[in-house]
Amino acid sequence: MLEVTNLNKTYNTYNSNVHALSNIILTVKKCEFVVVMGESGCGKSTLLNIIAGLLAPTDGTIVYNGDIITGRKKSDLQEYRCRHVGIILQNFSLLNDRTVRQNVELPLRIRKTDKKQRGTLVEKYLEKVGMLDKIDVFPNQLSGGQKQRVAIARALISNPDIILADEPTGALDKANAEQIVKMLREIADSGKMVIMVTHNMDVIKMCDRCITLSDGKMI
Amino acid sequence: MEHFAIEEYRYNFKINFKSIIITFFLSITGIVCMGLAITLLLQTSDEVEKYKETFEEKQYYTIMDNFVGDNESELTGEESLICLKEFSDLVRNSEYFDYYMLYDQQVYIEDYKGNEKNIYGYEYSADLDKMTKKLPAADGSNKICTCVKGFWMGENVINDFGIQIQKGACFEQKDFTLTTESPISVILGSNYADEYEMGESIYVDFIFAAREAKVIGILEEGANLYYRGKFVNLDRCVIMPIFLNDDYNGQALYRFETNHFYTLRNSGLIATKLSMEDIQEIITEYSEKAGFATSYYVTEYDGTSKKTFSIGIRDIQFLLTLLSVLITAIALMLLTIFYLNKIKRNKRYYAILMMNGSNKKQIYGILFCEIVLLIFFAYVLGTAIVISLSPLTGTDLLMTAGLLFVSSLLFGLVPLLSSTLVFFKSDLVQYMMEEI
Ligand SMILES: Nc1ncnc2c1ncn2[C@@H]1O[C@H](COP(=O)(O)OP(=O)(O)O)[C@@H](O)[C@H]1O
Ligand SMILES: [Mg+2]
Repeated sequence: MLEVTNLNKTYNTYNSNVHALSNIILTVKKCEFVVVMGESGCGKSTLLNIIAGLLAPTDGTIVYNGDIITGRKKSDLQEYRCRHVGIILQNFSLLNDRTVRQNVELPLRIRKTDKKQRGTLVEKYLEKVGMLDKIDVFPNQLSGGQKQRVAIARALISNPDIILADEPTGALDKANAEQIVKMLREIADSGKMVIMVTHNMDVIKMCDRCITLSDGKMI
Repeated sequence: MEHFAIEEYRYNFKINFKSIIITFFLSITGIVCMGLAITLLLQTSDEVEKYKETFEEKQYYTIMDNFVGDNESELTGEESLICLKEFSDLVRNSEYFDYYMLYDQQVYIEDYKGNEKNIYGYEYSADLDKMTKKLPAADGSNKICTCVKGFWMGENVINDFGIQIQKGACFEQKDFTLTTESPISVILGSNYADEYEMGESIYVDFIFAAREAKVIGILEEGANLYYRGKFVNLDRCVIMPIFLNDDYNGQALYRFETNHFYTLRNSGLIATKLSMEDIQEIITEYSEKAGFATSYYVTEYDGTSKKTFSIGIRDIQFLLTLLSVLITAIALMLLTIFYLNKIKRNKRYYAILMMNGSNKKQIYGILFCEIVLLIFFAYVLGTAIVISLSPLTGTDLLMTAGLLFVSSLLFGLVPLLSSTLVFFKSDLVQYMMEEI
């Protein structure tokens, strides 16, 4: 279970302070698919990055399965991120000079998984997203939907419990977007927590809960 | 298992092959040029040091006689010997300046065993067979003597000009008195070190005869003397003493020989803090005191000495130094800029690694690895190139390896430290939010 309590984030720039998040309260359970909506600049990405352990909040706590994540050492945060978080972004963020296989195995290499295991895991997850036949293809030979499926395989391969998807359908057409959302729904059902940022109202019927941010506040 | 950073380096190697090759050659060029620059600067500073030691505080002048035309009787007249001797004593014992007897004149040595490169005129491709002459020795035999470069020196020159001796001894006071009992003492340049032994007896020409001489010392390799506007290398020279006595075994010399002697003795070098005008006054006074009707005159040691020296340093060696310093600076700058830029260019790559579970240290490892490997291989290849060229350039291998190591350290550290600073200042999370 992931519990976000009274989360605040202020960016201090040299000439102004931006209150990106104020008093965010959010609880996500296993198998839940939560959608975060709101206008551009309202703090959605900031929220995901804090949950990912990439950013430190100014105030508030995040508790994951009973462990307080906030306010801890960088190395603890790194370990939490490594073990529990998978990230999917709008623009797929694939390395274009590496094959699908090399892209998907990247998280495993970062986590020092041995080579044999890497091979089987890559094939398993590519099969899951229906991309096994494109294993030795470079990303620029894939469509947007296919790229995002590869990115999903990559986010899942390290077997994280929390999947954070920041506008994963933003660059896709309707059919592809639907397919990706369906896939995320299935991922949640398989026992993970999925938090997805989107502008797409259609997603509401697929998710368990929807929160809306405006100017960093929940409404 | 292979380290993540090295593994990533291998991936990137294939992709960035071109830029890696360019940076590689940039590094080698820079490292080699910096090694060259240091070598040249060390050499130059050696020469400047030596020049300063010799010329910083003192002015150097030469004195010359004016005994030509109508004045020639000053040398040939009855009283001339007394005057010449008196003048010589005055200048050598002057309280106003140091006086150095110094004269470059070739020497003939008998049974020449040295390298033909040392023979007089070799550098002008003179006919070396003609560089010999037949001279009578005391035992009645004739000696075939070969002409080589020579320097004749007074007793204080070797010490005061800092000329180093590698074997044997310097001249002693007694070596400046010519007698029949003892052979002439000579010191040989380092080129003769292999052919002539210490204490070896040779014949040298001295006033139309071959006289026995003894090798008492060998100069250090590279020994030199600032003479007539440039440093003269003494490696191929035979150093002879300028004698002080006017008689030879109690027997007065011929007037001609006396003349010759005093040409050497009385056209030496004055080292002083006084101006040329002051010295001229003193020399005029000494000339009168000695009984000459015409005065000796003072000239600059050689009118252009200081100017030639500065031009001398600013010649090819200076240009080469400048060029290598320039190339070094440019290469270092380009390399540093390249790596600083690389961090920017790699924004997306770093952000992707970050979102997939890397931390900053791990990502930094890739950058570190790349720079260290680049410089390491550049050092190895650079050293190999310089060492393979060393038969041509005659550089010392250990010195080369050391110098190139220092250069490599700089070429590694500057890009590494600057890109480390920039890397850890950059916000990879921000990259992630905006770029990808
Ligand atoms: N590193 C930063 N420094 C200063 N302000 C920032 C920074 N990152 C984001 N912001 C500001 O915080 C607010 C929320 O940004 P973000 O979380 O990216 O919004 P969203 O993802 O909803 O578009 C915006 O006003 C943005 O300008
Ligand atoms: Mg955003």
